[in-house]
Amino acid sequence: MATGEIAHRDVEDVELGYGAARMADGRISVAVEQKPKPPALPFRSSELAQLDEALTLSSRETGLDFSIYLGELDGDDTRKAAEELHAQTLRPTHAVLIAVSPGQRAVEIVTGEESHRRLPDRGCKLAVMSMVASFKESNLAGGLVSGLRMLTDQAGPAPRR
Amino acid sequence: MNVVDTLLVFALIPLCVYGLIALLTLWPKFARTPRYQAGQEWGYAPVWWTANPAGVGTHAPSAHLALEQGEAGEPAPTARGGARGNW
Repeated sequence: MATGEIAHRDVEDVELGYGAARMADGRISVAVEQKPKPPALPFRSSELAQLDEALTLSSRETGLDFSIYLGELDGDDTRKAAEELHAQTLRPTHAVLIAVSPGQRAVEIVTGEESHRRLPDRGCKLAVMSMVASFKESNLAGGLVSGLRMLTDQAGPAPRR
Repeated sequence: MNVVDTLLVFALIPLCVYGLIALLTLWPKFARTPRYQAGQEWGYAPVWWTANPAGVGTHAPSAHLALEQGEAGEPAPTARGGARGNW
């Protein structure tokens, strides 16, 4: 049989399955059920939109590169894993990484050279405490947004050149 | 009005009304996506969000630069501070 030729099956030996139908030309048309994919993250779209807006506004206002990592931090030392992630950012001096691992119940804020100057550890600690309070209540998105707001307030507006 | 009529009017109709109201109130709870509860296993793939570059607007370091830095093997430690917490 050549490529592209339509295979004709005998009428007798084919038992039509569920959702299958024989077309007029002998072709069997089968309907396949589409199963909805499970959501990639347990967030509502409104929460995702809030997070996106908070990230963008924080970065625009402060001139620092805020980013949120949400997932497993490899190994027992979550701090080390978060610092490795921070080193991978495009502009590590200005990067502020908020790494949250809900499975390990850990949150890490990592600042670079310039971002540490703008954001002292004391301010980061305050934001972490606020986030942890929300995470304890299972409110991941709300905690991240409030943490971002506190960090933004702490860092203040970007210096004018 | 016989017994069947009485039952229909005074039992079945109120039950239907109760069921309808219960369905209307509980429907959003059934329909929404499952929420994460603290302490559950986190079975989702890791994500890393950054600000929307079009929204930030100003500086936009090129990916090319990052690639060149990345080729130098193990990146130098860049962390200067921060904070951590557990719950």
